[in-house]
Amino acid sequence: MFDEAARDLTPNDAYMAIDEKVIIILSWLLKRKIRVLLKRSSMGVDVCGESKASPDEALMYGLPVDDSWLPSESSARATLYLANRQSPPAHYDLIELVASTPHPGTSTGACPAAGDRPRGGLHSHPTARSSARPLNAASAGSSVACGAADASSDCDDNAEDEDEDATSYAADMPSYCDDNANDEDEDAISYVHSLEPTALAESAALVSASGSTSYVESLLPNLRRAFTESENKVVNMVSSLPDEGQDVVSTLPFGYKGTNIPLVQRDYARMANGCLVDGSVNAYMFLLKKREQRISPLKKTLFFDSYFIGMLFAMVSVILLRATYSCDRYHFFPAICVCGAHTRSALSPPPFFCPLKKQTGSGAECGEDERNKT
Amino acid sequence: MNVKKIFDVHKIIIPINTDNTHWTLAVVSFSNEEMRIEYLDSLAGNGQNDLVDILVHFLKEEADRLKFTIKTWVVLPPRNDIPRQVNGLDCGVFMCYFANFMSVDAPLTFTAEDIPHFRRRMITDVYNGHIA
Repeated sequence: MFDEAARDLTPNDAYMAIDEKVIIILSWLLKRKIRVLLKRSSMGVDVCGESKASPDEALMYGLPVDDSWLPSESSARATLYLANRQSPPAHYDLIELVASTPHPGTSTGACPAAGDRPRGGLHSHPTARSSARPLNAASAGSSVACGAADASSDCDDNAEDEDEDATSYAADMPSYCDDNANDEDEDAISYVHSLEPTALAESAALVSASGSTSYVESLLPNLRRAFTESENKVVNMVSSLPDEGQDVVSTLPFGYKGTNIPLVQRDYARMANGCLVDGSVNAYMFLLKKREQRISPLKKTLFFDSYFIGMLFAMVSVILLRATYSCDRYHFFPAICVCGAHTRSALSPPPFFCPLKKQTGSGAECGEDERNKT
Repeated sequence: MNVKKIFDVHKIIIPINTDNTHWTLAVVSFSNEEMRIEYLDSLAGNGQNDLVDILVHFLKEEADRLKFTIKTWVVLPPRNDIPRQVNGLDCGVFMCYFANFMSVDAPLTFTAEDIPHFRRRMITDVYNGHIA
């Protein structure tokens, strides 16, 4: 990690230079990772699959994102305080959280019986299975839908390329997909975007009252109705599947940009009996989104997948650790940031977010703030 | 539908996996400049305060950043009138059907006795790629 610039520094300076470099790199990785995860863990948001990626897919292929889902720095500060009320587990390792790679296994399950407890105290860790298989499945001939409900042939052009160059696939997709939104959806967009919050609520009430009342009334009876013969066949078939089986049973296009995600034997077996795993839950959330588009096209519900809240929590923990990790060393530079009194063991919230201040070039303010407080 | 911002929606459904042991659901809804956060736990837990707090602050900061006016923030206490699981395995199914019902504003009128049937229904729905 040494570089030429560090050569003329004092030992302490050199030490700091190393730390600084590590922090900047980790910070970049973290921001990219969290941005992708927050963005992509929202399910079924966009016709063209803007938000349909499994987080692991997004991570693996470095998909482009915009900043709209990244919490602001102030958000990080606010959540920092909250997270700091509890010490993160000792095994929350900064390096692992920031630079962890997807590891083999399947989607994690809930309940003790689910097994596959992920490392580092994170639940619902993105996994390798759902990263790799969708692409294989797609390239093997499965249609790649451009959106949740509107599979478009424009998007199929990308299917063959996925295995070879997933990054370019990701980069190319928006231009294909941008043209695919149908008129109905465009109307819905402008309608919703032009409304004020109160009007939004009113429109929601209207939609609820006019569009889906009958559906609501029939929801429970419909769920309780007897199964047809074909449905019984499916249920019987699934009942005999091995609990840990990894063979693909079916696919659904809830991956990035409508990529087909395979649902394996385990996903189905857990639906039949046992604790659900991420694959089952995320598939169901996707279907709920599809249903809403069908029965209440004007109503907009955002269905996150099961990774969202875990990653939000992980982000807060990492930011907390980064702050404590940095402040342990920033006492070498009291003019920049007086954090020496704040130690990792204390885990009380730092008075301000020193490392971020420093990185954005406003370190002097950080020190001034602290002096004013003291 | 092309939702660019988190507040362009009427409702947000968030499945929560707690420590790989339990599934619960958070539902965020908007009404008359009020943001209402509801936490549904089929085991009648006490509300996962940390996760909900972090979620609330995330939403608040996003609202500030996006200049979205929300006058009232309401975190509802855990509801006692929701269906409850009677074993240690059904939490995920309960959570999915909470999402199913809440997303269409339907009352949570099913019971634990429905869950075996709902499991089969979920299988056929997912297999067929369609919720009727």
